[in-house]
Amino acid sequence: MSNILYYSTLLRTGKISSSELTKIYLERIEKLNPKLNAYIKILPEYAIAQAKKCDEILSKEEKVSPLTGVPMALKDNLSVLGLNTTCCSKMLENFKSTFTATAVTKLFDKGAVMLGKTNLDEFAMGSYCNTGIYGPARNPYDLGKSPGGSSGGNASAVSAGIAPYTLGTDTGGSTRQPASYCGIVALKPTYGSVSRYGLLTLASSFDQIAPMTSTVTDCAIVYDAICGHDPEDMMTFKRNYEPTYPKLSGEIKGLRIGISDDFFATSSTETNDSVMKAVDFYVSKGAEIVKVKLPHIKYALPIYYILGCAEISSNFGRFDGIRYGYKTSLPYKDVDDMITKTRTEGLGMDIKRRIMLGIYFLSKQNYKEYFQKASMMRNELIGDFSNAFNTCDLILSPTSPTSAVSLDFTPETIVEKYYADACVAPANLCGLPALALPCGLDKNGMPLGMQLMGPNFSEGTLFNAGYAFERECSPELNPTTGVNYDI
Amino acid sequence: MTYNLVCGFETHVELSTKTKIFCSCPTDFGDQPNSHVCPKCIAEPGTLPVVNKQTFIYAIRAGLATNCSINKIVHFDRKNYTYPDLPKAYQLTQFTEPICVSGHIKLDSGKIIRINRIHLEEDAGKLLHKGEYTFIDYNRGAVPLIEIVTEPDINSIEEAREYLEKLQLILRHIDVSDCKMEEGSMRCDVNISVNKPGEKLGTRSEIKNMNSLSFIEKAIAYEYSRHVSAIQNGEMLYQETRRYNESDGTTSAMREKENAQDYRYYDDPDIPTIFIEEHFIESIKRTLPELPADIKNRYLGLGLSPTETDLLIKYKKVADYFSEAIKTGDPKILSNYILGEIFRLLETEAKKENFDIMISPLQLSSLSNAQKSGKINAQLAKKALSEMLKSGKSWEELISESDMQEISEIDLISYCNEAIYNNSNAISDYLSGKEKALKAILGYVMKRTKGKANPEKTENLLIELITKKK
Amino acid sequence: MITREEFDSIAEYALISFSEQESLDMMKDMSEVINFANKVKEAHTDLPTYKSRSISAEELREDIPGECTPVDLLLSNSGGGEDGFFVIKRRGKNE
Repeated sequence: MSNILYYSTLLRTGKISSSELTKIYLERIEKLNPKLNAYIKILPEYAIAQAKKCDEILSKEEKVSPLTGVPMALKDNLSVLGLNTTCCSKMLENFKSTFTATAVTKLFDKGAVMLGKTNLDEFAMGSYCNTGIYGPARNPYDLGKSPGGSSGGNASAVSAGIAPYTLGTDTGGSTRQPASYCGIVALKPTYGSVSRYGLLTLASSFDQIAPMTSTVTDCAIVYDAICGHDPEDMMTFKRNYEPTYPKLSGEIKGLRIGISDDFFATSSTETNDSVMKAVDFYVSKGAEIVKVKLPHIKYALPIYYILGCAEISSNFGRFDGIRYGYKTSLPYKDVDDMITKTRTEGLGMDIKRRIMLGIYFLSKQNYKEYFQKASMMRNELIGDFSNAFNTCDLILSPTSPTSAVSLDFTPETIVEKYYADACVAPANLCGLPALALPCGLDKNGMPLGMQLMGPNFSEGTLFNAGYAFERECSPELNPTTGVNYDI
Repeated sequence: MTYNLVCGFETHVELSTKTKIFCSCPTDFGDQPNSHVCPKCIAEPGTLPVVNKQTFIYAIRAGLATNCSINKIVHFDRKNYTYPDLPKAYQLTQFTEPICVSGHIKLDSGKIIRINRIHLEEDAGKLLHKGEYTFIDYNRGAVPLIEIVTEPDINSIEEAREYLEKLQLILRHIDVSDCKMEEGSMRCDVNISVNKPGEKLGTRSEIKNMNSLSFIEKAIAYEYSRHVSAIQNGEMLYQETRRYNESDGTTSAMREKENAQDYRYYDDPDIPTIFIEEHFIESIKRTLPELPADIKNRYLGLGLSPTETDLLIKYKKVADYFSEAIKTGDPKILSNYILGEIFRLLETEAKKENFDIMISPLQLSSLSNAQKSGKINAQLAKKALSEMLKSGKSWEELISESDMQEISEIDLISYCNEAIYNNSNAISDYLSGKEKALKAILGYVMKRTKGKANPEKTENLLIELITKKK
Repeated sequence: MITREEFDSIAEYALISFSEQESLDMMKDMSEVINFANKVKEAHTDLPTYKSRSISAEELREDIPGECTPVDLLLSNSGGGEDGFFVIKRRGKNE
């Protein structure tokens, strides 16, 4: 059920006002958020003020965007002028943004109403949404389970019905894995199709702002609204961004779907079976299955971590307490000592580890063997995908190896956690668009997700394929803390 | 001197673009601290750099003016280090692919100083230390810089000075920077080593952030002695960064940290690779202002002396003015006007550089032509010029208004006849061969006409009249 | 296994300090990840390093001054500054 279209119709026909709809959501949040901790900041005044403006627009104008008057939430690493953007870190706990992210401005211009900011792993580094300073977020299907990370708050909120849609950020699967855990839809767009201006950067060449929604239709509507060239982000492409929502037909006859065994090697049987059922569906509708080989995929995770850590170590140098952010209150002997204490106290261990590793990989003696080599291998992998897409239109795979893990799950080793990103990290590494959507349930009723990956700017194809599956085969999703969508 | 001095420069020059290199903040310094700063300038998380096209144009101009090749594909690198004046904790620069390479500047002796590279980078903020506190102003942060790196081709203090002065002159003439060392828009790092002729290069020391030509000369001299003395005494010389001490003209080693820094350079992922097309370079070539060396040759060709030409090309505005004026006027006379009366009026170097005078090149050239043709004499011209500079009026206007007008032919004849009548002794002297006597008669006419007679014309007329009378 | 010397040098560049136990744990974690990263050494490639897409110099931003941030807003995240400057106390305690 498309939240956006449903609410948009109600709003445009006057059956409900944006202010009323917003109030309903604020009440739902008040009721459910204490259980979920999906929101770390709820903004009733801000939301109502925006909703009132939307009501004015709705009463006057004939033609409005489907987003006008519909509430939403933002991951707390997206800046909004005048509001705190904390990244769930002590380092930015009291930091107020002095400008608004372009993607957010685009939504606001279309009349989106912001309910609040959602929970994330500290600085968007993590897979279980449990490292932030406001505590872990929970999965609406099982409050003892993780909603995924780092955009766990987003996934939890959409899944539980306390945000019609949200914007998250995806650096190495951070919106797709939570989408899989919580049974919702997420798109990591083609790198350079959505502006990163105002996204508090993690890894510059991997980050993208990503819509996280209840349906593929909503995802397409939001993507159409936020994509486009932005003069403030030099990496955004100047091109004709054709709207994807009007083209959704569900017609997939002749669609060539690539399958790579490597993506199924690390996931559970249940997951694989669920994904293969989707394959059967597509075949039954006239799609063609093509076996593809990605010879260098086994290097994807090492490359991702080398390059990712390197970029993080460089991007995080700016947190020194001088111009913004946390400042140590301990006595110090010189400026370096002040900065060291500030960073030591203000940053979590995960962040520190990535900074340390990044410096290691970039240092003079290691640069050639690690960073430079990884950079070359990145080209190899891009070549692999490029070759694969000569024979298929998109690649289908699981999103996560399993359904949601328990909240107190601790991997034995760090690297064990990395393997969970095997299906999702390659898209960030190669800049490719990837759509995650629910494809089934495990034996405990926890959602399982599949992923569609395509060549650059193939969002239209991905949405269409996702839409085709969703309208006929969407699993019976039933979050235990969820609410029904009748207002 | 048995030891060679080997010296190279890394010169940082602030480009005079209107906005900073990675954001639209104005580059002209506000009086107030942090008045020209935006979220990007303080590295607020979530901000991204946006490259200023004009910085590329200026950098390419600098490259073309120094005979460099322009790299068609460039990108920016991150130079990672922490310092309070560097908000991002990395400086965006061009490490692996500088925009210009392999150029040179020719000294007057004909010696070539090779330029290894010119690259773009951003400046840092300013730190003010007061007591226990440091105050930071980021107005200067992200102001665009070009760094011009020479090979170690300089072998004397004189060559060093000449190289830097020529570099300044070129960059000013092509309008990319005002290159004022005292204001900080041009700073030099000096690399010095010594060796015996024929031997390999010695250990190099680097003196950073020098902003005065005379200090640079002193620093080089000091370093040379220090190196030679160390070698002769068998002491170790370290490859190190040193600081110049203005108080006593010595240099001292900086902290070890600055010496051993690993900058962990890598491609900046926020800025795409930039492709410089041929036509982009061509359009810059076409509009490249004339270079000082070419202007100098042109002026010399017009019969001006090297001293005069050097003074005329020292400031671009003066050279531009002069070049315009000589299109229609007399070069020698115009040079005298400018270097004489006009410079005297302007007094200070700053005013000469600005060359903000009330008269146009055409007006000045017209005056020079009047003087050359004899319409007005030199003294009158000088007086006229002085008035013109005060009022902005043309010489014709002024002469018709005041009594500066040259006397008419008829009046002149009558004055001459009067002179002849009243100077019979001089006449007889002249007629008996004393040519000098004519001068006395001429002097009489000049006095009577209050200088308004043209001396040459008057002399000829006198000779004619005297001869007739005979 | 990363050496103690390497670790200390990196921590200095990172401007982060670790307690003794934290150092040991971090070294162990780092070594594990580096080991994992070593996989790239096995790979053979003739390709150049990754280069982001290119744009023409013509497309760069025009040199037109824009709006700056008012000083008060700029300094608001750092505790207000002083007389328009960002301030750091070089030694002692943050006030």
